[in-house]
Amino acid sequence: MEPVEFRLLLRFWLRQFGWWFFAYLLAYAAAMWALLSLEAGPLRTVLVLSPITPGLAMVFATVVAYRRGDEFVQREILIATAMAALVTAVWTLVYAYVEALGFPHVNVGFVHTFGWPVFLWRMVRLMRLREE
Amino acid sequence: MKNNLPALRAEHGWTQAELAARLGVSRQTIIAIETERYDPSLPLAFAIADVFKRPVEAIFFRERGSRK
Repeated sequence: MEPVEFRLLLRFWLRQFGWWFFAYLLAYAAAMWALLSLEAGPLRTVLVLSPITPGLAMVFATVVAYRRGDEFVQREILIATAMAALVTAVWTLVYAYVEALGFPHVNVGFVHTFGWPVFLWRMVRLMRLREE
Repeated sequence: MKNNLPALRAEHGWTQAELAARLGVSRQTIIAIETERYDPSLPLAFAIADVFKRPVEAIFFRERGSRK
């Protein structure tokens, strides 16, 4: 595989990923609104399912960046993925008990939105890596 | 792990981007190695040694008393 300039790759990836994340948040808000406010019907179904596409697109963009990256980039992407997974796991655990105390029951997509910003932060940090 | 990559690169008059292109890696990888944030894999370490026509141990070495 041709070596890809890392910063160009990451910029491309962040542009893709950033937009997909924004789209995911919007779709998630729309899905929550539809779940709570709309009667059963085609519009409600479409809105509730709408976060799936941007969510999968984020995963796909990450896989593409991983496959194109060199060994250092791949390591950093794996670390970012692990950190995002850890944050998601901790938040899931914490919220499970918080919910038992009477907080509202939420969709698992809610905790999912806490992991991705961690991943995005790690990637931005990597992109800003400069010579010391 | 310590390395004298910056000195060798300067000796050859190469920028980080030029060295990265010769090795087929990103410039960020070169920066990470030079600043000791990242220890390269053995294949990459040997590729670096080949580019500079030096043995690996002349480029990468441990600090005295260090296990890393």
